[in-house]
Amino acid sequence: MKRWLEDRLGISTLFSFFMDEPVEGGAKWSYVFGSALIFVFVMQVVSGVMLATGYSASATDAWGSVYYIQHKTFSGWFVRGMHNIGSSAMIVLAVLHMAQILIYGAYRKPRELNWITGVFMLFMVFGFGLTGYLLPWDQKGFWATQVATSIMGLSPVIGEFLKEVIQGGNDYGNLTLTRFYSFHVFFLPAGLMTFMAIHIYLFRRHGVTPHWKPSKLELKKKTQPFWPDQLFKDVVVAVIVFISMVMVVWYRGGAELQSPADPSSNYLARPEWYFLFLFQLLKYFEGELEVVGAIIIPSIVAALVISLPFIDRVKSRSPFKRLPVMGCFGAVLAGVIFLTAMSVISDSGDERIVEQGEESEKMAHMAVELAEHGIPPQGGTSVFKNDPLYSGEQLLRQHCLACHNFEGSGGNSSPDLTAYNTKPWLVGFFADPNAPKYYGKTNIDIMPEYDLEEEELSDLVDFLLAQAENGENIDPELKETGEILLEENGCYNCHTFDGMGGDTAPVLENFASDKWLRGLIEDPGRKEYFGQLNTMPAFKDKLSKQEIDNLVFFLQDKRKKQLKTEF
Amino acid sequence: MKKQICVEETELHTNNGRRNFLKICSVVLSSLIGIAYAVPLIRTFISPALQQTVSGSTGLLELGSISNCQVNVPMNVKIVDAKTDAWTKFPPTEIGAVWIIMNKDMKFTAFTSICPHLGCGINWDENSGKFICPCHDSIFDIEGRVLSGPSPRGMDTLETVVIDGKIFVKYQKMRLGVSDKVPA
Ligand code: HEM
Ligand code: FES
Repeated sequence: MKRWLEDRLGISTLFSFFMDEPVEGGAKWSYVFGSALIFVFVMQVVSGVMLATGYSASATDAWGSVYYIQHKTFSGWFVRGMHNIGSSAMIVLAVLHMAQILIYGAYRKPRELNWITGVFMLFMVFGFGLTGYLLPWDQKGFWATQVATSIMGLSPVIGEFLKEVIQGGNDYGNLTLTRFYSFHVFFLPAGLMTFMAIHIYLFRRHGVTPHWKPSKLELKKKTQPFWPDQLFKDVVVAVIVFISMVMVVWYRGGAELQSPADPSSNYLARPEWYFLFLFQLLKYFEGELEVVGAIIIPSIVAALVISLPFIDRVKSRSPFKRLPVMGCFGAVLAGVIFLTAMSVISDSGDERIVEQGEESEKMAHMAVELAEHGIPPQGGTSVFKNDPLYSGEQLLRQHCLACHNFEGSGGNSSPDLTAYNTKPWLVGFFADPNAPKYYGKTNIDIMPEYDLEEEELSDLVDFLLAQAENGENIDPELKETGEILLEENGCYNCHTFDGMGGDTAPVLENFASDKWLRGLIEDPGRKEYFGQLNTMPAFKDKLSKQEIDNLVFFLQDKRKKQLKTEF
Repeated sequence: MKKQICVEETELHTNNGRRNFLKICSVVLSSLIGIAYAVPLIRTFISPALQQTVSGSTGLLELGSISNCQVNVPMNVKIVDAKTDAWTKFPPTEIGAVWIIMNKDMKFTAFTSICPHLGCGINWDENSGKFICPCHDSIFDIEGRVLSGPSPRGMDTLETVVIDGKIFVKYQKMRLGVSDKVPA
């Protein structure tokens, strides 16, 4: 059976073809970076494909779908977190890989094309990061990516055209996402895989570049096969990389998702950390010169890096014989680190940016909480419509204004809800409960008018409104005065307070609190509220609990705002 | 040719025990990564099968609490559908109405108010205790049977369930103008 399969498939021949490759001079830890890159790329492909099962590339749905992956899908946050951190891991590993190649002089003849394909792959990895960053269509992705596409627009002659091709038209929108998505999951993976195949083929053709010290004979003696000597080291590094990634994802709780992209905000965009050096470089060139920092310098550096194997023609592998190259490499690396650090430092010292960071974190939190109730079809920023304040007002206008008046609009057959349960409202109420603005047009006519002295009235109202906040923590003096006033004015004849009194009028326990108001809206005909005199419909079956909560929230918010202006 | 270099005896090559150990370790470690990563990936992949992703028009719609019903008095309830599709929630809209009738055993019947003839809205006439379609005067009894008029079949019943004192209905539109009740 085994033979039969082997004859048809040739698995073990294939296996030994790939695995028995001799590693000249023996397996080494310094050769692990390439395979670590392949490892992380494979992880990116798998996690990316999983994300793609839940991601929707449209300006209305992208944020919602990423929200859904992050918060509603089992392990979605983890997969997304791994995919996000994977892009950073690839950048780090790619830089380490390049450093190893530079030190070992592995880019020289005959491996020029190894080097060049490698540099292109680095650009593609940057491309993955850039296109991926936009996909969640959140504030940071939206604004940071605009910087990148605007830079494209600066390129001489074809700039504007190039930009519109990449971003899919004259402005950001659906086509920007569909295109970026397509780049991210079709163009770039296809490109990277092709280059990887060429890169590996070339590597196999030329073999590894061994350490510069040992002699040819020594190297030959120490030669080991790839499997298992080198592969074991590769696997150990893969384990380390994997565990580090998991730890970062765990620690950060996955990837960040900011609030939905809002084209009307003025968000200060920052790109992913590995683009910060380019971003910082831009700051040193203003106006006309911008194109120098944005395009000319990076292009020159890129061109130099690509042509390195043709510039450096030294025969020796030893880095000490190639000091100019080592020096340049050190200088570029130091420059990149310096620029990155400068960018981080200047941001952390800028109050405006720190403040905005906190603000956007709050917004992100709020957006996620609101999305919990579902995202309206308009998508994106419309989640803020789930805001209880917003929805509370809509509900009030929809369901209450047929009878009640509110801030000048609505019906007049029930009490005016403008400034409902605020001090002025209650003061007016005590003066004339049967005025048309209060209960005059309802069946409720049993509340007598009170002609209290100003101070007494004020105390009574304060006492009642204190029930709304925290009846227990009420100032004992106010409580005493209040209870005396209730007693003196015969309130107990109809109202209950603290377990005493009649039940023909609304309870005063927790008067005007969220709970009281909610109960009233749910079922005003209960004897704790208007009982038999009630004419208001019960809303407990008409509105959901959430909707009633929103209504209450809206009314209470109005009341509290009024409270603030009184002081 | 190349293979020969490998098979060539060198100091390190001779140690087959060490090499086997490395082979085992490599396989075990990479399998561990594979398994550790596969678990969240698979969980993500099968997640929609374990959750409710679309609710609303395809599922049961809530009509309200049963305490509102009186025995043998048809009650008209508007069907408000707020479909939720994964992350998107569509605003609630009235998509139709049903007549609900509770019999004395507290069993519920729900009729769609759409007339099987040509789709007008059927009314309940309290005086005669009959359902009447105003368009072409089809008349139905309280159990939905055609008494007179052009309707090709009786009123269409809808599936109902009572959960926690609330009535839910599976709202469906039926083909009009035919004698069999088939979903449209
Ligand atoms: C075939 C391979 C890949 C596929 C199918 C894929 C797919 C996806 C999808 C669907 C998203 C959007 C979901 C989300 O934002 O959470 C995404 C985001 C992203 N991808 Fe990929 N991806 C692939 C490879 C890569 C590679 C190789 C890199 C990096 C080198 C990368 C970097 C990113 C980044 C940085 C994001 C944004 C993550 C975030 O902030 O949420 N992707 N990818
Ligand atoms: S539509 Fe009802 S009778 Fe014709």
